Amino acid sequence: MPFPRRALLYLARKRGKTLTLLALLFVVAVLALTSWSIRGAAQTAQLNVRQALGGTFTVEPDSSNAANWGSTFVREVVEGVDGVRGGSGSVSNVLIPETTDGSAALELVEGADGDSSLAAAYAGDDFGRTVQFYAVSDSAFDSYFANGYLRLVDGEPVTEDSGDGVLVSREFAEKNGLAVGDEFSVRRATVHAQMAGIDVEDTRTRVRVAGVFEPTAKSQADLASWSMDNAIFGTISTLDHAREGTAEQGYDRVTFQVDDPAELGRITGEVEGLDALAGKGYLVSADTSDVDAVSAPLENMDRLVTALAAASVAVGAVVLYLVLSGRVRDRLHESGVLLSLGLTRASVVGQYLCEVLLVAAVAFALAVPASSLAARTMGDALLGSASESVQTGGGDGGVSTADGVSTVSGDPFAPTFEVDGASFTDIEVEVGPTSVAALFGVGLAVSAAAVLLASLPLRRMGPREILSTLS
Amino acid sequence: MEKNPETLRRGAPALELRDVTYAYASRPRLKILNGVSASFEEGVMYAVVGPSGCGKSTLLSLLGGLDVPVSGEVAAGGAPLGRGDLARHRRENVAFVFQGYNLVDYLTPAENVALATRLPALPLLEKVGISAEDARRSVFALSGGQQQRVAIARALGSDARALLCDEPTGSLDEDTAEEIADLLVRAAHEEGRCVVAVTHSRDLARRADRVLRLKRGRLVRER
Repeated sequence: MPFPRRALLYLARKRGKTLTLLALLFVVAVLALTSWSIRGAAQTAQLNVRQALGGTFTVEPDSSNAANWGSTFVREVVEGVDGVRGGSGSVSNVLIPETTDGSAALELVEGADGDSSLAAAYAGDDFGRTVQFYAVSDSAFDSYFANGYLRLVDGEPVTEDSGDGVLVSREFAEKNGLAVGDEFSVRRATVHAQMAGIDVEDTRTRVRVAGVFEPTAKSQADLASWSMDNAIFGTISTLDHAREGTAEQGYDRVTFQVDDPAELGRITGEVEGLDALAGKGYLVSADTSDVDAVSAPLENMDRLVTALAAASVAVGAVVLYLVLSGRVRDRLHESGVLLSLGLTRASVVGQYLCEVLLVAAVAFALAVPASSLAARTMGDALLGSASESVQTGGGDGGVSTADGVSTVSGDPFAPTFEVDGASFTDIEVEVGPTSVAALFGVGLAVSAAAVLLASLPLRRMGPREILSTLS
Repeated sequence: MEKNPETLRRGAPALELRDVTYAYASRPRLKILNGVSASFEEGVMYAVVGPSGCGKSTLLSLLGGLDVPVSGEVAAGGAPLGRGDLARHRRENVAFVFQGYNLVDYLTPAENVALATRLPALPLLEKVGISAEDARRSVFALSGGQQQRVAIARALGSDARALLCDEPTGSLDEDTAEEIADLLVRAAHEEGRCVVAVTHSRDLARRADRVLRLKRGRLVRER
């Protein structure tokens, strides 16, 4: 009688023992698969959060060695580093937005932008109507957009090729009836023109609305005292015209966005070590505090779930070994009988192996739907708990990353993270094919190893010893 | 080990002990068997008798390839057995019948017989008095005598020329023991098997063709 048939007959006739083993393997498999799946979801959530929050670092000229500054050169060199998504130079100045012919000032959003004390001091002058004009080489990679404070909601980002294109806030546009494609003008404040000894009208330059942005929840949380509603983002050529060539000095700094903020340390280290920059007085700085604060709860959960997964597999393997050892010991007499009938040890051990692997395969198959259910329930609770620990600010806005794909949004009481439209808290905790394959691979290997280990006495003892020991 | 067809005939030695000495590894000086030589022929039923602990079961184990002697050799069909031949020897040359029946409890009688043979189990079981209905029941549902019959059917189902029986009637009442003795005698006389029965039973020994007594490590022919 071939050993697979003996194995099947044993499983069918010793139902109690079969069900006990099935239950044991099922519980171990569910524990391992559930924790494995939650771990996968936690890691996805971490990545989503990091990408949603974005990660940036800046490269600035050392003021003591400004001769080395060259923002275009810096961008070209740094963007070659692996993990750097892109960069944007930026320099700002205050300008006054007016109608195209300068006949009327544009209406500003109350309480936004500007310095109220300066505005008060120049109450009789036009300085009080100045707004911040940010000249950027690529607004998508500017720190306000890349770090998720502002989100482009209409039109296109501004780049060095945008000419007279500018970005204005939705509120500013609505207040002045502006839409994408409309034009207005900007000029320097009278006091600035006077100080530079130039006619203020010569600083006037016509601009075109290329896009409209709005502040995000993060902006409202982090920049509560600094509204960007009156800010204008444009090109350095526009600023250069308004400042009559003074912008030739270039950008103050270049902000770079990275694919994964977790890699900021590695990337900034590489940037600092670039031959083209090393020893030339460039300052490289990164701020990961946001990401660190947000990732901590998820990393803690990841560690917890990883420990749970490892413990369940380890404890499961030990318990399985103990149970199988006991079962093989209980069957020493049967083994002796089979050996005395001329069956080989391989046939006897093969039967035990076959029995355990068959039960394991059934238990693992049953564990898949059970684990899916358990993983969803436990995962929702754990991820929900972790997400509540993530402080992202409130409001119904969002944080856009450079490509406009990753966002953080939500109200202050239920923060949600979204990547490619999928919410952080809606992350599906599912038992994927990889987890199932790992369960079957590792689980069957552990089961087989446990049987072989438990069968060691069989290999050491002869049939007579086995029979006489138990007779 | 090659099986010699010439030896597989009535009167030919199925098994031989050639100057066999055996001692337990834990007590090497105490020789259970001391230079024992004997030949066990086909078609003959042997009874090996002697006091408890004299080494009767050890002798059976050596003949059956369950153990190996300290010195000397065991031969089957005229060819000495090496260590590597034991599993094949157990599978092809000998079949065991134990006092405790040693049936596999999760297999039916028919399946127990099928462990040792590819022949149809039911005719073999019918030959020893087990009905087709009983052949499909749990072995736990059978009496001791019936279980021993199944064990004998299992032994008879194999191609083995030698049946090695360790106290085959030790657990049975007189009538049943007599029936089992009948089966063993028929196995020897009608099927030409070599039957070696280690026993304390005088009744069974009386039915044997030859009686060998094991005493102080030596095997002496009584009859």
